[in-house]
Amino acid sequence: MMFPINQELLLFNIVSGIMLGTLYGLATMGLSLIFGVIKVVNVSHGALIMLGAYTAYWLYTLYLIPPFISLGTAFLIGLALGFSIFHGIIKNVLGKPEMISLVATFGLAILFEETAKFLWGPDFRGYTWEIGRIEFMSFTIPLTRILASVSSLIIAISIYIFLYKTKMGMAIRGVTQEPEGAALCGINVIGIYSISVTLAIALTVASGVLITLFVPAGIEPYMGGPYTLRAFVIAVLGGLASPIGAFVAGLIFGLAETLSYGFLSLLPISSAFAMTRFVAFSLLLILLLIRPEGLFRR
Amino acid sequence: MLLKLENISKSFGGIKALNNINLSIKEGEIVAIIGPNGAGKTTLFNIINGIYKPDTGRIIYEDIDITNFPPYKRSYLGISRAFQIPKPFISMSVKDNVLVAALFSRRIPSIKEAEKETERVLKLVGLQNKSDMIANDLTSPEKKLLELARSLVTKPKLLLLDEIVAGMPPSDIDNIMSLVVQVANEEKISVVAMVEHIIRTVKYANRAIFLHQGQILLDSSPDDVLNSDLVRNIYLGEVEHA
Amino acid sequence: MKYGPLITPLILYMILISIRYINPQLSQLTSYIAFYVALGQAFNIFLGLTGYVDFGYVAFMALGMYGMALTTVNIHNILVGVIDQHLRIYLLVIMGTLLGISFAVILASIVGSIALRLRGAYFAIATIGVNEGFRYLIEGSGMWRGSEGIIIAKDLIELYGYEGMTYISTEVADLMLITIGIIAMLITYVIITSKMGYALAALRDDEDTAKIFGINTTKYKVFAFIISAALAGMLGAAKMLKDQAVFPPQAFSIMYTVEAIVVVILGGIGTVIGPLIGGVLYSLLKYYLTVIIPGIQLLLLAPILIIVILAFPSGIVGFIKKVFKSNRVKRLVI
Repeated sequence: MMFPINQELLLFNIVSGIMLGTLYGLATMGLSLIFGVIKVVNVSHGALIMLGAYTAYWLYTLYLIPPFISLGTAFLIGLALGFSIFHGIIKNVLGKPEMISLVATFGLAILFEETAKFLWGPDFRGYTWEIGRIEFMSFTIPLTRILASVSSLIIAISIYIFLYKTKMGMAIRGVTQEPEGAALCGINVIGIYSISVTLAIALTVASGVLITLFVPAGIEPYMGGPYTLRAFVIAVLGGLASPIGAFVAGLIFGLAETLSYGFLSLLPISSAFAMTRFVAFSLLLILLLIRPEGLFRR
Repeated sequence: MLLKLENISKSFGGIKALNNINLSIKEGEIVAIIGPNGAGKTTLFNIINGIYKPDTGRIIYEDIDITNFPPYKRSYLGISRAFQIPKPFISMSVKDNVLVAALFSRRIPSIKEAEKETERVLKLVGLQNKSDMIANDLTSPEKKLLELARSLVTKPKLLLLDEIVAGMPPSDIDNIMSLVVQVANEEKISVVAMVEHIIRTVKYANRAIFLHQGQILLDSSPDDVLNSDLVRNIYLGEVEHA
Repeated sequence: MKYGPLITPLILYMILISIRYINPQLSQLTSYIAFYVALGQAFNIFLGLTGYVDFGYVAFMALGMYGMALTTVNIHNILVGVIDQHLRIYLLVIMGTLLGISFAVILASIVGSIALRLRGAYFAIATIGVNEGFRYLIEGSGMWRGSEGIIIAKDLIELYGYEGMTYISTEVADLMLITIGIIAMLITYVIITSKMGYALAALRDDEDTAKIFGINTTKYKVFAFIISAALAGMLGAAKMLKDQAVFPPQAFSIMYTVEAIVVVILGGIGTVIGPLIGGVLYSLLKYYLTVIIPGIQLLLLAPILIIVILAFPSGIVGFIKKVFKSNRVKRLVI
């Protein structure tokens, strides 16, 4: 069976996919950081992204604040939220059976979603921030998307520098790899936990803003679910405890998702969108089966 | 030959925990593996149990290559373990902790037998009066006794004994060690005991191995090993726990 | 086998049944209660006994619903030929339930055999996409009528008349719900008091050590998973008879998973009577809250769930055991 493959379309999809991937990657780094440091899977991950998305939406819609400023605001909100979550909940589940942290963060996710629905209603929201487009062959790419991707890349690089070139970052990595050894070296382990979780959550909320730059519609209380699932697939792909691995895995995933969506759209099935999700999930199962440590060993 | 380790190596990250280990254990031997912190003893035990997979080499047990066997299969073959920091099943009672090990031992044919053996072993270590207590509520020394009881009830052929006597008063150390040796001799159990702090326990063994930085440097009689310059150098300055 | 611990729950079930039949006006409430009790009992067999969290549990119930729906729609023509009304009902119920259970068991076997080799956190991740994945499979491929869903009210009316349809969605469905709860409870008891019960308790406390002492943890986890899924399938079949319609977004709604978790943890995880207590409490709470403050049940439920899991992880039964230290109470309430 030969499909007429449009070279331009393929290239466009590849570029789009990688751009999307930078966002996915950034959005997943927080999840990997938390798991690496305290071995807790944050089930409320997607809900946090949703909160960031709403932040961008409201700040723009009410005050015409461009998403670039709301990025900072979302980050600050995330810091406050992350700090509260850590000290209110996470601290109390350390060392306890896994089930407890899973159910607790799951409860958080539901709490965020339902609060959002209660405050802002279940309707889908969106906003348009037109700052121009770029011509790419016979397609146009909105400048907002390029901005979002580039920002993600820059932030990811900053995180890399933070983790690998600063004292604090090295302490965090030390605790990730060898918590007992780190404690013996005089590192305040709980302090590191607190900082890591707070930062990770702030990062996740901020990434929600960038995601709205890429997809400025579809903001609703339950939008987080698919992102949580994607983040899990990406995190596992990248080696659950490595934020850098998560970013690279995000690129791969973004590319794969875009290409498979494009491919599935050519087939006679009723919803390529839904099928892509199904494929993503099956991929997760296969991945967990053959290589749960991910593609990267750290 | 009960257990044979051939060319076993294991690294974590960049650190080589075990470097080309070759080791044979016969039936009925009582072997002490001496080594300071970080020598690789725990890694070695975890590899024999099947918790870690070696990077290179094979593990042969009773002429069977068990390198790829999961931990529960190795237990069926008679490999047992007692951890230095006890790992009881915290929500279960003392009796159930031992009973569950007995129930899943291939050498105990029925539930009735399992209950009998459980009672016997609990009496052996002196915990029979605390049968119904929740394991988590035991005192630290009692947890070590429970650890020992659980490891013995399965009727093992090979007992991997982490240094459970660490931190005990001297009289208790002697009692426990003599008990272990007695049971080992009676039931033909090979014991591989880890010795990190309590050097005096080496005398209970009939063979001693010095493990240092992942390599076997000495393998001889306890006296020879203890008196060697190598061991004295490494342990010089270490207060021998009286 | 000591049957003492079964006395209390069985008595409670009898009370539930009596209330339902003596006072038909309360039948809606009692069937509501019966549903949540059954859901809790079924879920407890996995969550409670293994300590693993299956975020995709609702998928098994949804499959049960589809099993019953597809059976009704497809054997409609055959059933019409059966003269005896009662036989016609039995056939539908049995075949629909069997298909629902089969679907659930097949999915559970596939997902379980893969995902249960993993540790708790990885497993939870793997399950988080199960209900989504299946829902998108149905909607995306259009199988089983895709997003349109399946409505069987008309089929039931044609087969059994209007009164028959009502009879099925009340009497028959309710009886099924209560029966499933009782079956699940008995299975829980049998497991807990068997060798498997010891294996599960050990692996729940310390999986690595359990493996070292001869327990094939994967085997037991998969077992509990499949049994729990099968019961969910049964429950779905019953629910289908009650609701008479199945649509992917509602059937695969994560709400049921949340509620199942709440019921099990609130009552007392891993116990025989826990889900019964949790189910009764939760359903009463929900029933009356829905009347007073509709639409925000989940909003209230979420912080309750968080507080319960943090402060009372062993639930009401755990609390009772702590307060009443006597051994007799401990033996009666497991």
